[in-house]
Amino acid sequence: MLNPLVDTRDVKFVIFELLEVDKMTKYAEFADFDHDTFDATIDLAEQMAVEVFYPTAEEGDKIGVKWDPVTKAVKIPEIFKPALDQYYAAGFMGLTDHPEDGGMGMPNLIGAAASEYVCAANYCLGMYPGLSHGCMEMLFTHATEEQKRMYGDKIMSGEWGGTMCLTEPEAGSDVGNLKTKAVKQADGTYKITGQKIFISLGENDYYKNMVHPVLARIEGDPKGTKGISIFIVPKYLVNADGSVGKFNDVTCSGVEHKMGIHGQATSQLAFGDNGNCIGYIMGEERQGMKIMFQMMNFARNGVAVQGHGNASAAYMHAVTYARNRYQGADVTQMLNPDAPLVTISKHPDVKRMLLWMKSHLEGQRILCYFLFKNIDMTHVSTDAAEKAEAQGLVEILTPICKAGCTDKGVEITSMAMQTYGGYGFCKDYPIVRYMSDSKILAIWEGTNGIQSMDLTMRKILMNKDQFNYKAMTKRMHETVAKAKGIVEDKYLDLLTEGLKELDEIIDA
Amino acid sequence: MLKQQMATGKFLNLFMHATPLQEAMYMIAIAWCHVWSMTVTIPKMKELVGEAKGADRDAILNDNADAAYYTGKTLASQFYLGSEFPKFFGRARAIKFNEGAPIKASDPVFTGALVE
Repeated sequence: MLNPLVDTRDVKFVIFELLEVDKMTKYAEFADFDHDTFDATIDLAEQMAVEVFYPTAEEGDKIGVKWDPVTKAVKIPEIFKPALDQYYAAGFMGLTDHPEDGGMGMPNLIGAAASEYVCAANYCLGMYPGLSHGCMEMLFTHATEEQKRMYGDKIMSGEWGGTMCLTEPEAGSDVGNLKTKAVKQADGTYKITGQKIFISLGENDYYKNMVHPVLARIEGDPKGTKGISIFIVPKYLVNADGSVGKFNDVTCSGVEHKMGIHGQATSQLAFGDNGNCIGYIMGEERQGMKIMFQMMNFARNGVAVQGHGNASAAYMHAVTYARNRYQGADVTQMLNPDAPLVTISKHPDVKRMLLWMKSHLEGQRILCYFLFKNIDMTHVSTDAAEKAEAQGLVEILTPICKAGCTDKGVEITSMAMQTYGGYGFCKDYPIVRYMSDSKILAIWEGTNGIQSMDLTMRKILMNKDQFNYKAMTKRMHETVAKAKGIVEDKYLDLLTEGLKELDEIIDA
Repeated sequence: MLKQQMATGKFLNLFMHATPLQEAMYMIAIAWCHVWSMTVTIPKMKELVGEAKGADRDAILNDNADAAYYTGKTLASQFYLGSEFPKFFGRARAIKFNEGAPIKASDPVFTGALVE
């Protein structure tokens, strides 16, 4: 299959040759799978990406979403809908979820690869099931059994969608400053009032109902993050038989007009403008931040893959362009007017640009997949020390991958545009879209500045005995030892020297 | 250095260093991934390409997708370590230099006009 998005050979190298996913079938959770199942899943993800998602990207971006100020409804690009139907029908929604919740139970490592394809093909479209999945996972982890079945199962099937509602006009990075209010009712439910902004897929005409996990402060609870609770707020209330009931006073007051991801319904939502919005507590009161951040941490890893996948597509397009664009003679014959033209991929500076993008992307692929493999290990390992180390690696690599892959994702898409020359700046070529779509990833899900503070403070300095940091650097030293005699010393010495420098920065 | 700043309550310095540290850690993590990758790609490349050089090597790469793949991966890893990763040391040096200008920069200093 001609794949203009992701280097599948490299995906399979990382999964099978480097991270050895086949060995994970020794764990009971993955015992039903084998090499062929994993391989076929990756092939299916590639096919879904190339044949179903990718063809929607250009039109979806051009048409964008439309908000009707009278009905307050939002129309998403029509071309997205059959693609979403096929995504759900192929079972990708529950690829890594527990079979008890209707999932297939595959390793997150395989899920990361599938996700890379989706993100490279059209991450703006992938966010509809992607965000819904985050909401569903939160329900499966923290909601009551009744809530799981009432809301989670419908999200798994694709009938309903899910969001996460944190941001408000005055509460962005400072979530603790939120104003959305919850008032407890005699029947145990809560009346919700407030405004949320930047809510991905908040209002749309694909899902029959939307489930909004909403951060709010119960009347009388303390200021700051400690006083925040989380509520399940459906757009339509749900009848006892599971069918969609009456409107729950959740209206869309507009959509954001953005630099990129035009097909994404980034909504402003008003809860309880008419005093009739009902919310149901998820977990316990004042545990909202804890619950939301469990989801958020996983979502941050997803954003790393979004940044990586989007940049991968830009790179793959740039490679194809460079291999086919004739311009100038070979530099060794640049003074010969009769010298034949060569493709720009023959020019040393273009080779450098391509190798620069390739080297970052291939490093990122290993790092991101390794992170997801460690998420798996935190679930399946029966060895306490191994499990603790995996948890430490997940904690420290989450901000590194989120910030690193998205910041570098912007630079990679920029370099891909540079490879095209002037044509890259024109909308006739897709690089403009990749570049426009790249920037938001460095901003949302906790800006990269916040990732850096999280890494420095919580993940390293406030982490007992710097366990996370030591777990990571221990792996690095082990790799250097293993590479002796295979990799030239001059490269190994650089890494060893770098580790020494890093130790001095942290410890000295 | 950072642990000491933490112990002595120099939190502004820590926040000032946070992004450079994150960038440096991304660089070293990617460098590590490339070394790890080469433990597999170099033996495979040697097996498929042998000692062939120049036109002989190109002939093999044009003909054999695996040979081209493992060679490309090895070159990308070498490029990262030799050309990109050295930037890490500049970043590390900058953190250690502990330049405090951002801490001293208050609102009025960012433009030539007074803050309204």
